[in-house]
Amino acid sequence: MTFTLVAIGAAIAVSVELLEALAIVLAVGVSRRWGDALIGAAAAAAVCALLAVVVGPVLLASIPLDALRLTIGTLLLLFGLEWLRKGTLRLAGRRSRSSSMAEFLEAQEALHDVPLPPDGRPDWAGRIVAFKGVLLEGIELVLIVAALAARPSGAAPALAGAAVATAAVVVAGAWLRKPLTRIPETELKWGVGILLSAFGLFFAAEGLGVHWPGDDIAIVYLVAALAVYSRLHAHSLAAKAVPA
Amino acid sequence: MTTLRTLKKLLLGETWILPIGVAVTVAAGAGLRALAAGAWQHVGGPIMLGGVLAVLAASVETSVRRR
Repeated sequence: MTFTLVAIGAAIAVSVELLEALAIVLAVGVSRRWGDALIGAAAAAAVCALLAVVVGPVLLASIPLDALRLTIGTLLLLFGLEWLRKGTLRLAGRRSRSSSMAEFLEAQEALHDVPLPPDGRPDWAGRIVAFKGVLLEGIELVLIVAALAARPSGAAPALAGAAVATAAVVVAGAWLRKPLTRIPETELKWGVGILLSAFGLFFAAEGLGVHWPGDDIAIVYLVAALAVYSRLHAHSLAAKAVPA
Repeated sequence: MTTLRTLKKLLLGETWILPIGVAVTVAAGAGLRALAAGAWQHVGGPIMLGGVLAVLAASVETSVRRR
């Protein structure tokens, strides 16, 4: 049960982060040159891989079990609640819906006034935009996957979910060469917020000595409680916004 | 400064309510555990869930008021 939930959580979190990074790389590739877009993206991916190699083992090796659960739980709560806050606002119509297309257009806009250097000369503006986009999304991705992978019961589900999601998004991006506009990103991100918050709460409380009724099943009712609460709050905000 | 601001946003989010609220919830949990370890094992979960929901509600309401 926990294996599946962790794998799903990691897969969805990685997918939505990669979609945003992909949109920026595609924008640079389409409007500038593919070679420079890929160089910038590859450099950022290398920095993220280095970060992953450092963060994961440090979390696992240097912190006692209860403190590790509390640290992971708190980290996941911070990420999860932020995604859930934004998701609740979006579902209530109080914040614009999440869209990789918006990232795509924003990246194109940022490069609009910068002249493209002649062939054979590096396009540093394009490389930097691709690097920065992939790096920022990648750091968040590494922290989430490292926290899920550093669970005492093992890294396998988080790494499996992340690997499947990475392959799916990269193949889709390479095949379509444009942002995946029909994916309901708002709902996906809301779902990730629910899952990360539930895992965070579960681990943080365990780190503080709590025994959850039903053990791992607790994650299911935590997911349900957070989802119901967030939906009700969004519904109430949406109702307030409608004039009488 | 822009890099620092981006890093802060990445790690702590867009509002201070969340990191402060999470810190207060965890600290309150640790305090209650120290006061009544036996009872905490059984009632700590629902208490922390309540704390997390309160933090979420406060952060959403603050964001709505700012807009």
